[in-house]
Amino acid sequence: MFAWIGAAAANENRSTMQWDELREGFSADASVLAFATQQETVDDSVFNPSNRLARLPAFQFDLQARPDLQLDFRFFRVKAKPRLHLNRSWAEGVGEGDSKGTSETFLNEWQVRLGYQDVLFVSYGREVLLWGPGMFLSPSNPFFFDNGRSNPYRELGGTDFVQLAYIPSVQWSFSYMRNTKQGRNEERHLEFRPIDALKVDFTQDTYAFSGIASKSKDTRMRLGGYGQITASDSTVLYGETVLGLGSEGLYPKKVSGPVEWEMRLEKIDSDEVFHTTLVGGAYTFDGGTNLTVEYVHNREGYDEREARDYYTLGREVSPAFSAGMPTAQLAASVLSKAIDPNLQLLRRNYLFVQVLQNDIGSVLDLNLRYTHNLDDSSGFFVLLASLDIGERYQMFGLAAINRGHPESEFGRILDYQTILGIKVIVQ
Amino acid sequence: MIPVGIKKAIFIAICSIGIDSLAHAMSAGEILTGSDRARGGGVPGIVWTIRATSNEERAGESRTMEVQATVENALVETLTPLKLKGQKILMVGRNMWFSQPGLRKPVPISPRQKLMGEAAYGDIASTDYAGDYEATLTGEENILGEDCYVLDLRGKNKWVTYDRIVYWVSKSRLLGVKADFYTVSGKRFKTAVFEYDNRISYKGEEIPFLSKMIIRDALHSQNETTLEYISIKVKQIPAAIFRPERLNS
Repeated sequence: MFAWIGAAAANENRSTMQWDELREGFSADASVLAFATQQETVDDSVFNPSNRLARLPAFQFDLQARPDLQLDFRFFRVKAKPRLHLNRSWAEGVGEGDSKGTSETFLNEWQVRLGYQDVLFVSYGREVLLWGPGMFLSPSNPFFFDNGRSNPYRELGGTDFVQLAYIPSVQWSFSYMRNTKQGRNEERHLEFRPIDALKVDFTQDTYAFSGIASKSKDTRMRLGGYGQITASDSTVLYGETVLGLGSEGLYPKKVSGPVEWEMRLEKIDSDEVFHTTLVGGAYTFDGGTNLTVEYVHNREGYDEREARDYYTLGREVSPAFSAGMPTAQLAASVLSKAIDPNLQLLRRNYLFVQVLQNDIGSVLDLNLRYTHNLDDSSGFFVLLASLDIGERYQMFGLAAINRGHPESEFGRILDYQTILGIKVIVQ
Repeated sequence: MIPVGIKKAIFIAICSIGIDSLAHAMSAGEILTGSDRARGGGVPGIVWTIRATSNEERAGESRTMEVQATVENALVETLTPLKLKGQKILMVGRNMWFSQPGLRKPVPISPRQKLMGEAAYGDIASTDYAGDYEATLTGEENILGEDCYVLDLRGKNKWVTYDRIVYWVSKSRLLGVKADFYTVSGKRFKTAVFEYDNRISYKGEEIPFLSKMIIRDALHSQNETTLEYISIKVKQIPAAIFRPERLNS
């Protein structure tokens, strides 16, 4: 009987300990964002005439709940990021014309992961898988284009991945990943296809390097990589590149047909090596201000002749759409592909500059970014600001101004955009 | 030349015999190695919570962080205040990355980034003065009521947190009591005093451990940052903790 009581007590102790362990391994963070966006489209845009194609709202109000949940228990981890989005938008401006409201609940990210001796990890789930040192973009990433340069307050949609990682030491890491479903990622507009990627990462003393090989069943292999060097206590230098045969971008092509132009996968079978390469550096001043400068060369982007054809396509196809002719639907399809031709960048040479000052008076962060297209001289300013109010509240704002001719990359769709919002940290 | 590892083993053996009787025979390197043990050196890994308070920040504001560290690497995660919760700094060798909830990927940063007030990130990671500095025993002095060895430490490479440190180590306890930090131009720019009210157990031995570090601006002595070290645990830290690509996961 005493043995039985002892065993029962031991079981109860074990249950209590496991419950304590579970409780310690559970974490939850939550924030609520409310923000208003006001924007103006380019009046004489050849790709979005009078905003009748993209139909970007002039004003919208968003309310978003963002809870993040995670449970770590021994070799097991599960995490989830459910989201609630409420949106109301006005096409012409607040109070003018009809408004449209949407509400959505979804799982933006989630993951189940098993670990073996903290060396081998296997996971499946939906994730925003980003890497690389560049602020402007990450060319070596075959899964995600966007690097947050336009609007860091907007969350990227996750893609479903299966991943295997082997981490034998602090210096080395080896990973395999495959995207299995598009999930919430709306970046890529070609038909979804799984891509297999192998990644090797090495870190040592003052430098770190990574190499990535990626391929899908019907496309050729792409090789990418990135590296960084801590050159001094104030300076980090870095670079990133991807190269492969052919391009999955859409290029303007004159055709015989009702609309006379198409956007085609012209270079997908080309034997030409296409690369996108970023080089950059960041310098931190004594007072904490950080200056980042990056240059990008994008071989996939349009050269002068292709750019001329591109804007000619816009000028010649746009009337068919605007006039509501019988070919309006076909024209709309061509213009939509022209707005987003599956290229990270439209042209070939870019400069990116960022000035960042955090913790001004312990409450204010300021970030000024400028992106300049060296080929068509258009540019894009973004000013980001956030102000802490007490422990749980933060006001934030964004002002983005596009400058350039309507037949230039940054001048073709949007004139400017402003966002003003408040974030409440619930947990 | 005797390897450092052998020197450390010899030093530990000497400590077990009795410090006082043999301390006069100790080299500057051995004194430094001994004092490092009370600040994270000499153990396979350490996890501690630090509360940092600076009178240069808004009145009453402090930051609590969990630090997982080995001699060469450290992961610092901010726990409070709420607005900074989840911010992480990863230090691997001389490389550093920053991440925070909402940031899409870790960002490489330079070591010049300050923690807060007078404290640098190097102040809250494990200390390996014996590995990072060439030590010279320049004399003895009574500091804060204790007889101390005075060590002049010069950085072995340009990557050390401080180019030069004058370090006072208690003769009786072999613990660092005070430090003056110098720029490369030879200017004393900050000073720190240490307290050791914590205890850790490692290989059956109870070791006094750092509990407080008070850092003052040498020019403006009213500017002060206090680091309090709480809940110290010796722990083997998995390599995966120090991988930058896993920082956001």
